[in-house]
Amino acid sequence: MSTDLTSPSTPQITAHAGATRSRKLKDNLWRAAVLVALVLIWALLSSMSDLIASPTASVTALGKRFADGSIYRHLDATLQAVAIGFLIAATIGFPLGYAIGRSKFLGAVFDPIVAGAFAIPRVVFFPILLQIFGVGVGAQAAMAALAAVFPIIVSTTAGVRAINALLPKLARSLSLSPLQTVFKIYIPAMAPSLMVGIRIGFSIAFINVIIAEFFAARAGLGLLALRAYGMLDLPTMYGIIVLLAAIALAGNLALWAVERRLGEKA
Amino acid sequence: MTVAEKTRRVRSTQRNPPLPRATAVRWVILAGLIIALELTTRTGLINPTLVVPPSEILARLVSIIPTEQFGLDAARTLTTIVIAFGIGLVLGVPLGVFLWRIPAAGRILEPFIVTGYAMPTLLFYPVLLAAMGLNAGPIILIAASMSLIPIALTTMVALNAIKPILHKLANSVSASPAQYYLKVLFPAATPLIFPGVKLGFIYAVIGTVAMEFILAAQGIGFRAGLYYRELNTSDMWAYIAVVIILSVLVNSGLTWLEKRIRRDML
Amino acid sequence: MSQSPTVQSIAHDSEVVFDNIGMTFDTGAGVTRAVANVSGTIPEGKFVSVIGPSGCGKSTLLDMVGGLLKPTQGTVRINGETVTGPRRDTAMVFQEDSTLHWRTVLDNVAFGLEVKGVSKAERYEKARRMTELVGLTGFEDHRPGQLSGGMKQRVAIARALAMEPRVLLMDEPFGALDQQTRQFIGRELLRIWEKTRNRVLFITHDIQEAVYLSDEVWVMSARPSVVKEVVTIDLPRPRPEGTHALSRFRELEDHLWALVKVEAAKTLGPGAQRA
Repeated sequence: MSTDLTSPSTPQITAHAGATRSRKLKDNLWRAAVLVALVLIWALLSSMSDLIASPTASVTALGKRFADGSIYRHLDATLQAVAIGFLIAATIGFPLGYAIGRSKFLGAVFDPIVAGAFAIPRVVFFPILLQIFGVGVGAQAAMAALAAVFPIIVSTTAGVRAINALLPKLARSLSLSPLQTVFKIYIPAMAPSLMVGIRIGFSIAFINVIIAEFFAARAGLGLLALRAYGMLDLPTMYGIIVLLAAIALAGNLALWAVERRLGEKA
Repeated sequence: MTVAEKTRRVRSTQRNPPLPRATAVRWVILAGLIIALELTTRTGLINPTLVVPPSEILARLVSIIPTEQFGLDAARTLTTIVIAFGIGLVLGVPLGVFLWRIPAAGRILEPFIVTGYAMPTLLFYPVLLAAMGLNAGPIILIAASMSLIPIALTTMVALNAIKPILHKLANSVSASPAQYYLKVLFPAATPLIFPGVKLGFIYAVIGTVAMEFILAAQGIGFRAGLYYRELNTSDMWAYIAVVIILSVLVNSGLTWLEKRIRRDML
Repeated sequence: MSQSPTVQSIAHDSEVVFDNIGMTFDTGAGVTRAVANVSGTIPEGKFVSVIGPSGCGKSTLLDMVGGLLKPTQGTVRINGETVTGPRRDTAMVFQEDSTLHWRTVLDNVAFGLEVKGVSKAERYEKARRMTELVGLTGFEDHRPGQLSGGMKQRVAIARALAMEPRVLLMDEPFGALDQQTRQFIGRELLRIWEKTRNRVLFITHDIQEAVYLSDEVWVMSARPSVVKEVVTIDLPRPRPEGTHALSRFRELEDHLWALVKVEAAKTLGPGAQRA
């Protein structure tokens, strides 16, 4: 490309740092406005339907659960299940995805299997997990692992395959050891897609723990929400939905921020 | 003109040759797993109340599939999936176009949409049940909301990835807005949008079956959950097998379609 | 700086006229004056090339004729009408591959006519003729993915010619091709042009190419650019294989090179503002 201003009709001007910062601030203000608007819509809906508790009632009910400490047992159970399940999925998924992505042959063998398994609603296996682990955090964590492992494999595989073909050549030309190649070349090069795997893995682990808790659990936020609904304690139920949304938002935003930063660097 | 001949030859050798050995190995692995399951369950190494021998699952399937009940369940599940996916598509694509067309909206709303991936929307299931009754409605809404997100996100990304020159071309021949979208934008973006559409369909399947599994009056997922609660392990496995077969068929069909689209349009 | 020839007075109906046009971009990082006070006429049936240093606004000039950009000063007139947006009597060929990869060669060539609303029979008939003209007979049903870069540019040229434009706008159409393909397709373009005799505005930074193809070469100055000199290429047509070896060809080439060198030095020299 020459330096001609070939397409000023679609200006892609790299604004200087100051402008970027003020744009970021503006974006965040807008996001806050969207959030406020969502709460207002919720408030409006709650005034129209008996099935929807108002935002204030919900947050108050949630606050009460925190104040009397009755929520911690459930919060612990859910977060533990997500964390354990995700760790298991990551421990299995990353190396497996790496192997499948690196080898053409393994890729040809396992790609259709992984894709097929990805498409199966893994919740249907939950009863078997219940029989193996009993009702409790173990079954929930196993469910999360089973659900999260395939998306992690898929994005890791995609990440390995997207590595610039010159990088392995570079590694060989520098006669790096296999371990150095993985840690100094592949992992940094793959970092953005590894983050995608982590984020989607977290999301799916989280959702599946809640689904599993709906089905059968001793403790957990999903169970607590269902119980609150059963006792027609709608404020508590919506309070828990707010809490879960906040967890999903916080977790996702943190991972997404890391992902973006890595993406910018790459 | 030999240039074209040459380029074509180069392309065909570059394209991954089908690895027949890999396909064979894949089938051997899958057959081996089924045989291992058969042997371990027959010899009692795996508790038969936990997993039923594949041969018995097959026998149950043969007797279940011709029944009217199965026909009704399958019809309910399939229509639910198709409607949910249809809603996801009809809302997701325009949403993606909107997020692309108005970059500020895309930037501001992206974190919310990304969080939608991790939001356990099924928490609204009880409320929706109360509002709409124990029918396909609540399931359709939840499955549609799961299906919409990947479709919207990939549509936005795909439209952003269109080469600027194509906009310039459309502009230079003074294409009307309709011509611009139908003759340039969508054909150019289709190969990139399709993976998102595929994911959207898979999510519609997962969402539908998972919700049916938790609570419903009809459907394949419901039946699997019901037989679990009735401790009818062999019928439960037969329905799990139906879910697996359905998902794998859906995935293979979509993969085939994806390959065709890529071949024709990329 | 010599002023370009007087224009306004001789502008009659079918002319393509630049009337003292200028272009200023507000990039947010500052205001850039890309084009200043360009006037000129593209005569009927003539091949006009524009050369100049990188970033001198050659493409900007072309985009303004194509209606993709609105000049911030002055007007471009085609056929007596002021250009306010893309027109159906102009057609563009770009440097980058602008083929639609999901369409066959024939459907690509017919694209402009299709958008214009030309009937199916007529547009395919024309597209077939143009495909033949650019030497792609036998490739009608191929997709761009199966073609080389040079062949894709032929498709783009055929698409533009099929629209029978009053003026054909070519923005460094061979800029992305390798040297051999470039020379070959340049000769091909000349062969095609001898048959159609469209009015052409051709942007290039290859001086030899400009001399070989053109009736007139406009040399642009560094930014803010004006037409520094209009050089008439008085080489006889048709121009066969050996044209490059003619002494007049070398003279013209040397003259243009000298003009461009001065301007390029301004752009590249110390303290020069680069885009």
